[in-house]
Amino acid sequence: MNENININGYVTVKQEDEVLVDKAKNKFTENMIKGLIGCYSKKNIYFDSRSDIWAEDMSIRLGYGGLTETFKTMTQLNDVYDTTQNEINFYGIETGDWYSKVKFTVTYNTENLQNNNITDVNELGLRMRPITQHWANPDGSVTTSADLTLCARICEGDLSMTPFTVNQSKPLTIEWEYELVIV
Amino acid sequence: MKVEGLFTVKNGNKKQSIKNKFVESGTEALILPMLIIRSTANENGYGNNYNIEIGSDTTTATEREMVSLVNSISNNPDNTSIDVVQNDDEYYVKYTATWDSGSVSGTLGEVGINLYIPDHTNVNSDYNPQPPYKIGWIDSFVQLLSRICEADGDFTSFTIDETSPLVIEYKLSLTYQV
Repeated sequence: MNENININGYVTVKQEDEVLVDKAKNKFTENMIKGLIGCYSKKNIYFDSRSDIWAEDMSIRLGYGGLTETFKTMTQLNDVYDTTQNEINFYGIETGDWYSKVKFTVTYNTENLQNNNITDVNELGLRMRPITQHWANPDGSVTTSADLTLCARICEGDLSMTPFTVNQSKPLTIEWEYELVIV
Repeated sequence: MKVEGLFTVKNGNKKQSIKNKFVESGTEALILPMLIIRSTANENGYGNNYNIEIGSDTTTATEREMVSLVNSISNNPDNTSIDVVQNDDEYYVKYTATWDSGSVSGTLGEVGINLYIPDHTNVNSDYNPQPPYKIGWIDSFVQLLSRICEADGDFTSFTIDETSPLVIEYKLSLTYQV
């Protein structure tokens, strides 16, 4: 007991009461892993002025190129709708008996869905700014903002979700939750 | 993804690699960075002032609420290093502490690693929405992340051979799972 930690991400998509995707398990990208382990390196994260990292400008993107399976060096969705959410909420840490959770929720409103003609969806991606600069210089300071990149994805090709068609007359809500469990 | 911690202890003709047991205080920091949007000051990485610590206790099992070794041998290592490494689907940070020959003595019955990580009790919010900034790097201090010990059956305690260096490595790895 207590020898391992599992970190998993789960995605739920709803339009009002209709559940389109129910706790689909995501796949991580290499940049996400490098960013998390990079926090454990020694030197400064930042020096002297503003740097945007991790959740700044984060988005959950919708795409229609999900037959392509997720691979670890992927940096963007395969075919992505050119828009982002209208609203985003961050949730803090929930701690329980040997687990912790972090959650993000986003909403695409009906105007956004209609204006960008979002219809068929078979891939979703979480874009963030993981700090990966430590990998090039583990003993140095990080002094610049981290780039936005794909951190995790679900898609039809991974069999993690079933494709769905968006009803453009209802807002679309996506919940992306990370769970850390010590086992 | 899977996270594992592995200590390797070398002294004289002894060399053992042992999986750690994690304690509560250090583990939450693994996912905290996702909530941060910005750094506006000098923020230290978790490895800042890290400390691989040794102790002589042989009877106390690791408990999740543990925040320090039971009976620390206070000698600090003579040399330390840190690195990040990728090996195929495994990504890890490796900490190394070396005590020169003769600089530490006694019974080695427990080993722990302390990292510069946030106060998890301060960032806990019962899942309520949080201001999405600076979370995770507030009120950081050196805390125990994990431990190995004889009481858990991890290894058999031994008397440190003072004629040889004592080298302890700690590898914290995240593995990409297809």
